[in-house]
Amino acid sequence: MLEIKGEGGGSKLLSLNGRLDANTGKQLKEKIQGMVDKDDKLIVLNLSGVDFIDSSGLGGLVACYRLASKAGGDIRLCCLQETVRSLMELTRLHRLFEIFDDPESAQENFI
Amino acid sequence: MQEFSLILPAKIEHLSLASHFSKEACKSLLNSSQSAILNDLEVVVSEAFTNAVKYGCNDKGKVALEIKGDKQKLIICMKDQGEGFKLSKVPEPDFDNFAEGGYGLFIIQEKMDRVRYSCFKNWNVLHLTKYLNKDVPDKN
Repeated sequence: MLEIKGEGGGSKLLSLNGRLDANTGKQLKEKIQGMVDKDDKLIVLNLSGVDFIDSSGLGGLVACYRLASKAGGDIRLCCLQETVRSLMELTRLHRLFEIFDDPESAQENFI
Repeated sequence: MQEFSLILPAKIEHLSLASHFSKEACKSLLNSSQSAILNDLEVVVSEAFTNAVKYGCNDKGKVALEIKGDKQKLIICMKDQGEGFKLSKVPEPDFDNFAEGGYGLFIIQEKMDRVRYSCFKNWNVLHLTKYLNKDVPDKN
């Protein structure tokens, strides 16, 4: 189960909790699509609560990045757990995203 | 050698169940100092199950998961009833273009010490071995 929670009243910071895999990657993509459709296209994903990710979950993140990017926006990531970070590095996908240690740094100058 | 097995319908909604089962089975086969291996095996099972459902069975038939091990090695067998594929024909991931998919088998090969694929009595069998001692006999 993946829980997606928006923070800060209309903010573009999303906190994800749970597993990011073939089931939940699609759920995330639908959420991001909805935000992009409403012109919320600068998005920070807080992954501190994601304790498991596989290649389908990574693919979901890439799909979200492409959705935002295509609309002229961007997606930043923050607070990656070690297991998530190491799989991103193994697949070289860490080069696609700007990755930050905390939400505040990720949101800084993100306009 | 202790053995655990589970047969599930080839549906992606059963991925969490397959992952939970494999994690508990592997936990009972590993000691507390091998948590990094446990994390790797959870990813490997998730990749193998997803591949079996999406590309092997195409959402039809069953997937059988077998996990066994001793102090020297841990073996995961993922079996499906799909059309199968040739391991040697699976392309490398497209790292340069940040592809959305195509990393599953690559991750499995990176995390495991031995990867074999065969067909036996209408089952396609992905046979994965992780050696638990420092001396690995061979890589693939």
